[in-house]
Amino acid sequence: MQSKLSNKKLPLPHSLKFEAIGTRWRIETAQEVGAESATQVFETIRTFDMKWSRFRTNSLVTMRSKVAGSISLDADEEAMLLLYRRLYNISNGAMTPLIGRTLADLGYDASYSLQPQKSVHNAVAWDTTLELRLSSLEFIQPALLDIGAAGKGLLVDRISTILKRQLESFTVDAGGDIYVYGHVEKIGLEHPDDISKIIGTVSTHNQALCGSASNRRTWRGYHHIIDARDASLVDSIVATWALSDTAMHADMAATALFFIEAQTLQSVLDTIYVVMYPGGAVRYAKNKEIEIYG
Amino acid sequence: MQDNKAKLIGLVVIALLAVAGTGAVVMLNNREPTNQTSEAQDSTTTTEHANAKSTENTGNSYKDGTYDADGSYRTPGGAERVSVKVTLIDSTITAVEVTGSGSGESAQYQELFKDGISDVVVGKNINEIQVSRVSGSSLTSTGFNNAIETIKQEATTSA
Repeated sequence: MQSKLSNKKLPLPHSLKFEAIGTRWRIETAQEVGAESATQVFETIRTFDMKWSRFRTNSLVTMRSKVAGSISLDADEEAMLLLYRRLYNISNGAMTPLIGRTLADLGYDASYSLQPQKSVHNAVAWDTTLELRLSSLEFIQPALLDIGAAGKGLLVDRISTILKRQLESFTVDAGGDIYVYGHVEKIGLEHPDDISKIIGTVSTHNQALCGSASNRRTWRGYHHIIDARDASLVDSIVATWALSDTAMHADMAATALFFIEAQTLQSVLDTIYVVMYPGGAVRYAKNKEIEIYG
Repeated sequence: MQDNKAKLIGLVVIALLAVAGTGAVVMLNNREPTNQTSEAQDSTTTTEHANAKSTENTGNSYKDGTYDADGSYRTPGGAERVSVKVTLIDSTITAVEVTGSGSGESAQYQELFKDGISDVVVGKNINEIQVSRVSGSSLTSTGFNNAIETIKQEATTSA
């Protein structure tokens, strides 16, 4: 779908396209990404993947699903986990990075078996499993983490930081989670039931727009937005979008909107939101950047 | 302006949403302000108070007055019930009171009405609009897509 869109008006003639961390990336830039920057970008992705991917048998996260111990945290990772903890509290445990086991049981596992197990585990409680310390995450018992609600955003931010050193204008598009720098982009909000349609637009400048919906990552009647407390599918909302200063915040907000009422979420995450309900009703923050075709 | 009524009903619906604390929508389809009943599992009734200050406007908006909506709706935690009392003057909501499970400060709910609400968004064809790109659920990887293909093939061969 994206290839059909005209980018002629954007001052971004150069692009890098690749697949990483389970999605398709497209980095478009005003000037060509230098060899040094490109190397840093791919190194950053590799480092992140080897640490956090539950789809890699040799990642640190996979190791912690088998053996208790700790994961050392960089400042942004610590910020991510602190935010996860607050969202866990506010959602009464519905949203948690400990959803990994549940997703794997449902078939969304490291080998993409897409074959649900006979018994599906609810997520284990945070306090009996994890302890967030200064610069480290301690595993009291082994557990499978899934930072799918934030990891991609965090990686978009890291890559953007690298690119900002070299470039005045660029867009990082990680499969629909988008950071725009140095120019303005009017980004369409994809209709979850019909990808040939958009339900509105968000004008984005030096900000990140992230979306989440249950329409694409689906298998055998399941999807990946799961209430951790009882492993049930969340179907009361069909799509969300969030506009924030960082991609990590926008990414987390987009997922959190499935579990936490928008105004409540605002107390934790400064974000401009759009929420679409089954049947097509849309609720959104009134903002000059947002246009909804109501 | 039936649409106007629909919008107002939409606001009542959103008040219910806020109380749910999680996403749950109660749709009201009946556009009359009295004795509303919605469809399916989620049921909501709205009744107009017989009150003195019920002035008929131009006929294309709600009468001034206080409206009650009792809603039951499903949340991930189970069925919830709530009552919402909305006061309208010149078709504008001037006060909201929420009682029932998950009740909170009225002020919090008033804040909600700054939000935009659209009853049903159909969308526009992507070709009609000048956009640089789209955002939705994240694109999936080749690995995931291949796995889906495998499932589909299994389904076809076993059928």
